[in-house]
Amino acid sequence: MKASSLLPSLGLLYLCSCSVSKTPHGISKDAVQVSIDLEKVDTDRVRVKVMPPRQKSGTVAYHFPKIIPGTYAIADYGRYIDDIKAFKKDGSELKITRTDSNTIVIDNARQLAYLSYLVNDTFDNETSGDPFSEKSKTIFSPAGTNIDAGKYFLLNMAGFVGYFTDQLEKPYRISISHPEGLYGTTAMVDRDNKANTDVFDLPRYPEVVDHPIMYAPADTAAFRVDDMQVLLGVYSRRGKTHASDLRPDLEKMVRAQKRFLGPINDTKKYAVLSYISSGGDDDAKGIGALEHNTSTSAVFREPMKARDLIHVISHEFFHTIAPLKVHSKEIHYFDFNNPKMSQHLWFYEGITEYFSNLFQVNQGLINDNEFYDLMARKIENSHNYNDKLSFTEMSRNVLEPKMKVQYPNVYEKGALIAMCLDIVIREQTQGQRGLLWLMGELSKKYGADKPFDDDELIPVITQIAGNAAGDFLKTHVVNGERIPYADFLAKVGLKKQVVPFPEPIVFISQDVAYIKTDSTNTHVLASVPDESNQFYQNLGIRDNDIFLEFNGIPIDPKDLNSIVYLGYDLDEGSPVSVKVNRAGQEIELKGSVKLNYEDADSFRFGDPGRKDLHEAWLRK
Amino acid sequence: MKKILIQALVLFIGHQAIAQKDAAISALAKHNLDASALDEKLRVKPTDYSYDLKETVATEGSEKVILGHYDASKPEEDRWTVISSDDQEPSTTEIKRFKKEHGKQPYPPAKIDDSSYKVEKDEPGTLVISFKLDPASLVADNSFIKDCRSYLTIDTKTGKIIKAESVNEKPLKVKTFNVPVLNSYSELTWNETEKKYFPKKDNINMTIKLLGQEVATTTILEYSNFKK
Repeated sequence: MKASSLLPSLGLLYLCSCSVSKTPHGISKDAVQVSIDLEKVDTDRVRVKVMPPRQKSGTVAYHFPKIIPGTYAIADYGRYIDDIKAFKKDGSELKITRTDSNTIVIDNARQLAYLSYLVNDTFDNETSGDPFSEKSKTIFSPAGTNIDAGKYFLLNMAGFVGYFTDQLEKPYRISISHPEGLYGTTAMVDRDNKANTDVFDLPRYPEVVDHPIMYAPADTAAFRVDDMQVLLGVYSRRGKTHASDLRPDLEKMVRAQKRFLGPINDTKKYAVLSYISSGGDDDAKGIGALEHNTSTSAVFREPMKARDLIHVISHEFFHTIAPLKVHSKEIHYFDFNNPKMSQHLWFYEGITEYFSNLFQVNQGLINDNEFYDLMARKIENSHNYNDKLSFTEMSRNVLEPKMKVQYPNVYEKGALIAMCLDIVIREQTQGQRGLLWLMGELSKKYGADKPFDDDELIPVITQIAGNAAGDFLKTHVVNGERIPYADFLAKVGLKKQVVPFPEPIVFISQDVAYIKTDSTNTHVLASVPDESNQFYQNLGIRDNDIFLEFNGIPIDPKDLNSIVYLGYDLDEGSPVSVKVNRAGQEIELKGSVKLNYEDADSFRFGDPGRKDLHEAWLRK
Repeated sequence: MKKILIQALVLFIGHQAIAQKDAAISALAKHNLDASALDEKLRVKPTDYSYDLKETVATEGSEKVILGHYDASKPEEDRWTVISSDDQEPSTTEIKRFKKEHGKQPYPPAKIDDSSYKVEKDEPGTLVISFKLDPASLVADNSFIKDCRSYLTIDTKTGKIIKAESVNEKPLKVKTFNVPVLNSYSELTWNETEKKYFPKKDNINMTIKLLGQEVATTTILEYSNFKK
C-alpha cells in the first residue's frame, strides 16, 4: 500500500502475487491463499486465484456468499463469477460442477491445487429501483464491488473470495497486486512492503468478509482519537470532494462519539472507505453504508457535504457496540449460504441509530429542539411501514420478500424503540442509568467472542434493567403493539407541539413542483406558479428561467435525478449560486439558501417538574 | 419526497376531466341510448352532499388507511375532517396532506380530441368507448394527461356508465419526473334523485421513478353515506 517508483513487469507482478508461499512472512499450511490481480483487468473483470489447504475428502464445494452480515438481503455474489476452473498441480483441469450460482463442486478434491476465476463488478450491474424492494436483486452499492481499471477498485471481499465447505474457520492470506498509483484504504494491516502488492492475513473467513478495501489515487486523511487510529479514504468520480474537506467534521464527530461512549469502545483502528458516485445512470445508485467491525464502506453522491458523511458514519461507528460487542449466535456463527436471521434487528440497528442521534445532543453538536425534531420525524416516517408488526417477527423473517420492505423501519421505529427503552430505564433509576449503561452491562456479560442465544436477550435485559424494561420490550417489540410515543416522551417533560420543519427539496414545496422541462427535454426551467417558494423568492428565480448551473455543477436535462438531488438537503443560510438563462441572457443569481418550511408534529420541553429526568436523559 | 409526488399525481388523476358528448353518439344510438350518457357534468363529484371517504394508500409492504368526512354544510375551508389514520389520531402532516389533496379545486374541464374516439367494445349489454383529451385544452399542471387514454364502460341496458378508466399509453413525464405507469378506474353509481353519477370507488395505480428508484403505489378511495 505504498506508492513506489519501482515498476516491475506486469508478468513478474502476477507471479509475485500468486506465489504467496514465497513471501517473507510465514503462513500456516492450513491457510487458504488467495491472490487478486487488479493490474490485468479483463473487460472489467479481475482474475482471482485460490489455493486451498490440502483437501481431505474426495469432493469439496467452494461457495460464494448468498448473503453477508449487515445487509439483510440476498446478494448471491456468485452471480458475478465467470470462467471458474479447478486445476491440479500439473496444470491439468479437474472436473467441477456449478450446482447453483454460488456453489462450485470439485471432484477429486484431494488433487486440487488451485481455483481460478474472473470477478465481475456489481456497480455495473445495478438496476434502478429500491434495493430493499420485494423483487430487487441489486446488491446495495456499499456491499458491492467496483472494478474501474487503473482508477478505482472497491473490494467487498464477499464478491471476490469464497470458502470451502466446513472450512470457514481456516486462516486466509490474501495477496493483492494493484497499480502502484493506487492506495488501499482498509482497516487491515499490510504484511508486505512492496509498492504494488499488499498481503493481508486473516484468521477466518468471516474476518475476510468483514474487511473491505478500496484502491484509489491517494486521497486520504488520518488522525488519532485517544488510542484509536482513524483513516478516511475518498474517491470522488467527479473529483469534487476530497478527504481534506471532510476530515475536520469527521474528526469532530468521532471525538464526540468516543467521549459519549467512554470505555465501552476500545476500537484500535477504524477505516472509512468513501466512494462518491456521480449519480449518473452508469454509476453506483445505492447511497448509504455498510458497517464492518473496524471499518465502513460508504457510497455518497455528488454534491457531497461533510454532513452526509457525518450522518452515515455516526451510525456506522456505533455498530462497534452492537453487534460487535453484543450479538447473537446467528451473527457470530453467520451462515453465509443458509442464513438464520436474529430476531433482534431493533437491537442492532435501532439502538445504533438512536445513539447516532442521541450523542449529538449529548455532546452539544445539536440543540435539544433539533434532537426532538429528529425523533419526531422518525415517528412520522415510521407510519409509512406496518406499525402493528412484531419487530422480532420481522427481524427473524427479514429475508422473506414480503418482510424485506419493512426493513428500513429499523432506522425509524427501531430507533424509537431504543429511545423509549432508554426513557424507561432512566425513569426506573431516577435518571441514574440509561440505555448506554445497559449496553455496557451486556458487553461485560457477553462481548465480541461470546454470543447470546437469541431467545435469552429480552429475559437478560429484564434481569439487568428491570421488569419495566422487559414489559416494554414484550409489549411493543415482541407483540407489536403500537407505541404511544407522546406518553413516553411526557415522562421526560416533553409535550406535543406543531413546529415548522424544513422541506427536503427546494424544487418542491407544499406538493407543488417548481421545476419543469421544456417539450423537447433540452432545458430545465423554473416553474413559478406562485410566490410561496422562499428559495426561489430569495434568489430572484423567475418563471421560465432556464437552469444552467447549480452551485457550479452544470444542469444536464437528460439526468433529471441529478437535478432534483442538487436541491436536496441544503443547509439554511449556506451560500448558493444558480446560473440561469433569462430571455437569452445569462445571469448568475447568488445568495444564501432560504428553505421552505412546513408545519408538522414535534415535541418541546414543557414540564419543569421533569427537568432532572430530562437532563439525565439527554446529557448523562 | 416520494410521497409528495405520489400525492401530487394522485391529485392530477383524481380530477382528470373526461368526456364530452360527440363522435361516439352513433355507437350509443345503435343501442337506443341518449348521447347525454357521455356528459361530463353528470360525473362531477357532488359538492352539496356530505359523505365519508376511506382512503387506502398501499405501497410495497405497507398500507395506510385514512378516514375522512366531507361536510357540505360547513364553510369551504372547514369541510374536510380527518377522523383517523390507521385507527390512530392523525398527525398534523397527515391532516394537511389529506385536506390539501381532497380540498383542491378541480382542473378546468378539458375537451375531447374528436379524432381520438374509438369504439373499443360493442356487444350485447356493454359498450366501451375510448378517447383522448385535446392537449390544447389542458393546463400545464395536468398536461401529461394528453398521453393517457380514457375508457367509458356503459351498460347498454340501463344506459348508464358503470366504469370510467384511464390508462397511460406511454411513460409519462410529470414536470421533471418519470411515471412509467399511471392508470385509474372509477366505479360510479347513478343517483336517481339528482339525476347524476355519484362516485363509489376510485382506484389509482402509479409507478414513479425518483432518484433512481421506482415506487409503485395504489390508492383506493371509497365513498359512502352521501347525505344532503
